[in-house]
This record gives sequence, structure tokens and C-alpha cells, in this order.
Amino acid sequence: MSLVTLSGTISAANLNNNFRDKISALQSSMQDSGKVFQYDLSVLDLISTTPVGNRQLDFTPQQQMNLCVVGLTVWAPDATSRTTLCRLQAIDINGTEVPKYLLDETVLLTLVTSAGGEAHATRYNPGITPWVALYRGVTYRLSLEGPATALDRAHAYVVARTFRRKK
Amino acid sequence: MKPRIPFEFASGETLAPTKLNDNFARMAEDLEEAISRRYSDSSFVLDFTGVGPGTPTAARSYLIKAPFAYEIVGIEFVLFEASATTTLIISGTSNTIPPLTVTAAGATTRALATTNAAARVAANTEVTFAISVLAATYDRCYAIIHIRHDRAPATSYSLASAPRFAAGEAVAAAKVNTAFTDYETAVAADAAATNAMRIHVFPIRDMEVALQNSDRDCRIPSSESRLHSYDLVNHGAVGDNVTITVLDEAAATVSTTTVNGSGSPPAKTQGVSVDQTQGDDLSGDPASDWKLRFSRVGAAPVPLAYVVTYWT
Repeated sequence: MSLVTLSGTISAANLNNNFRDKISALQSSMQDSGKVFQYDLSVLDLISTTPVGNRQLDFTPQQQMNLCVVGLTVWAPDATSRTTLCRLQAIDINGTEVPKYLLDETVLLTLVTSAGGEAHATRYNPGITPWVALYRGVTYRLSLEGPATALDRAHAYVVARTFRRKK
Repeated sequence: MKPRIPFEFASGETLAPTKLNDNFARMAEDLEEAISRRYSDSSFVLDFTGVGPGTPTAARSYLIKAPFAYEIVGIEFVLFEASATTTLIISGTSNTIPPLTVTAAGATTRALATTNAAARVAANTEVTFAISVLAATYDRCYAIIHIRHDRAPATSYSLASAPRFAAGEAVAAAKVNTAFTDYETAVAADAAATNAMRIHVFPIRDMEVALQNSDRDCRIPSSESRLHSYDLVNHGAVGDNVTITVLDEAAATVSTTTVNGSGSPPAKTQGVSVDQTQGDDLSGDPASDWKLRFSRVGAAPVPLAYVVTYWT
């Protein structure tokens, strides 16, 4: 749609078109105000015995965000079968999971590799079901659980979207 | 938030100024609301894992020089270590954030220090985030820096900007056209205003001489974000040169920069302009992701190399 120049007797259809066109343009601009950013957790030589601190990242949003993507990329040195887990959980100050802040879900990615090289798994919203928000002031934990035989590296990430707001 | 649906006009209907006024008034209020939403929030992670007494002093810090002004609104500082204390010191901000100290609670227990002390950072100002007081090589140490960006309104439009048609007025097409054109101009200005700016840091510490393919990449899902520019910092010695390559969804090179090692102080190239937009808005296809890819030459490990990307 685009603006129609009105003349003479104003056509209802043209008038409606113009109003819808400008509302649509404003809506596009408002939707475009949502921008994403990324939290990363990268662990070299991830294995089941990797210390817990090295395989988790905690973050506390300062404003409500929409969870968009949870992703996991691993690099395996050989064809040995390996299972790697990536979790996103809401936690309390003691590190205990509080599922209600993720709508009673733990976002879980399971990646099984049986070949050397790079492998990848993701969950995209709305593939993350149900659709979740990350709340202001709630701490979330992105964590990895390594396989029995070491990977070269694992890279987990969370992509979240925030929208422009008033002060 | 979405703009409200306008009243519809029927063919043959006598054009009522009231209905016309209400539509323009609604549009004005909704645009004014959109313009007033100017603040956006995001975070970036600074990883200090592996930093220890043997780490060169310069490699215990990150330099962030954003091309836009922003505010630091909060910091989370995490340490896993048997017993130690470390302090995060920030310098270069317009007002001071007191040093933030975290005391270890054990090798497998998270120790956390937080602050909501705020500080402004002017555009193109280098801010240093450094840790000090190293009693041990930290098993795990990182800081989450929470920021807020103010894009400032690029235009103004309010109810007073909307046209008013009097009862009984013969509505002139020209007046209506002008109202639509003025509104279109204001919407376009608002859409074109600098959007939410974000910062992302991808570091490699103790970069090996033979950098493995597994260690070199950071995946960035495509989200129709625009990569504005980036900085590359290399703490390597002379001869240990580091290259960063930005690859798009087609694995084509968007930008590449090499910084030659210089020892102390570290070598850096800041503000490499890119100004390219990703092509895919989180459609769910990882094959469309961008990648930040390191490569290097030289004969010695590089204590720290990192790329800071700035997005809109």
C-alpha cells in the first residue's frame, strides 16, 4: 500500500487506504523497535567432569525480555558418540531452580554427536513452547553438561529481545 | 504495543468530520507514544576466566569504545575460586562506578557481587573494565554489564500536529493530503532514528599457535540486526598477528581486519565500519547465522585477543 493523493470528491476507498497505509507503517516501525542481543557460554574441552562454575552463566535481566533462541554448537574430535545437554533455567539466590519463572519449563537442548567436527542444535521461539519471557530481576542460568568423552569445545548461547520503553 | 485500528469509511457515506478527526487524533496519539519510547536495555559479558598472577596486566582488562553513548545501569560479577578476592575496576565513564569486589566462596560455589551504581559513557569514549588483586588463577570469573541506550527522539508529533475539521466544514482534499503527508514524514523520521545499540564481546584467551577450527568461531543468529562497527584487540607479541573475519549467512566475508601484535601496550584497531544488516529475522534456520571467526599467525600463544561488535 502507499498513500493515494485525494482530489475532488474524496473516495471512501482511497481514504481507508491512506489510513490503513499509515497505521501499517507505524506498526512496522514499532515492531522494529525490538532488538536482540546475546549471552554466550563457551567451554573448551567440555566433559562430564568439567567443574560446575566453568560450564554455567548466570544473568539477571534489568528489564523484561522475550526469549528468542537457545542454541548449542559443539565440536567433536572424533566419531565417538557423545551427548551434550544445554539448559536454561530460572534460579533463586541459592541456585535452586524456580521453574515458575519459565512457565514451569526448563529449556533443554540435547545434542548427540557421532561424527567428528561441528554439530548444532537450536530452539527458536515459537519453537520454544510455550513462548516465554525473561523477567526483570529474576536470575537465569545457562548451563552445559558434557559427555563422558571430551569435546573440543561447546558454545551455548541465549538470544533475547527487548523493546524500546519510556523511562 | 500496536497502533489502533482506524475507523472505516463507507462508499456513499457523508464524510463526517468527527470520524476524520478521531482517526487523525488516534494516529497522532499512537505516534507520540512510539516516539516517547526511547530507551532500550541489553547486556554484554566480559570473561576473565583463567586470568591469574601470571597474566600480563593489560590482559586483565577489556577496552570498550562504543560509537554511541550509553549508560551502565548494573553489573553482576561472578567468581568461582577456592579462596580469593578480586575487584572489578571501571574507568573512563563520565561519573565513577565504585570498584566492585567479590570474595570467593569455594571452587564449586558461586560468589556474586552486584551493583546498580549507574554511569554515563559518552560516544566514542574508551572504557576500561579491569580486574585486580589477583591471588590465584581464577577457575571461573566473569562480569555481566547491563546497559541502557537512549536513542533520543528524532522528531516530534503530537495531538496538536493532527488536523481538525469543523462540523459542517467542506472537507478539502488538499487539507487531508497535507495531513497524511506530514504524518508520513514523522513516521519515517521516527523509524529512521538510531535504533537500540548493543555490544557483544567475543574473546579468546591463551590463543594457541595452531588455532583449532573448533576454537575460532562465535555464532551470531541472524536477526535483521545491523552490524555498525567493531574493535579488534591483540595482546600478542610482535609477529603474533590476529585476524577477525565477519561471515554472513552465505558464509561470505562481510569484513576482515588484522591487528599485528605489538606486545605491551596491546595493539588494537577500533571503530572498523561495517554498516551491514543481517538478512534473516530469527526464522529458525541456523544455516543463516553469521559468524565471527578468528585466525592468526606467529610463533607464540596470544594471551588475549577479542573482538567487540556494536549493533543496532
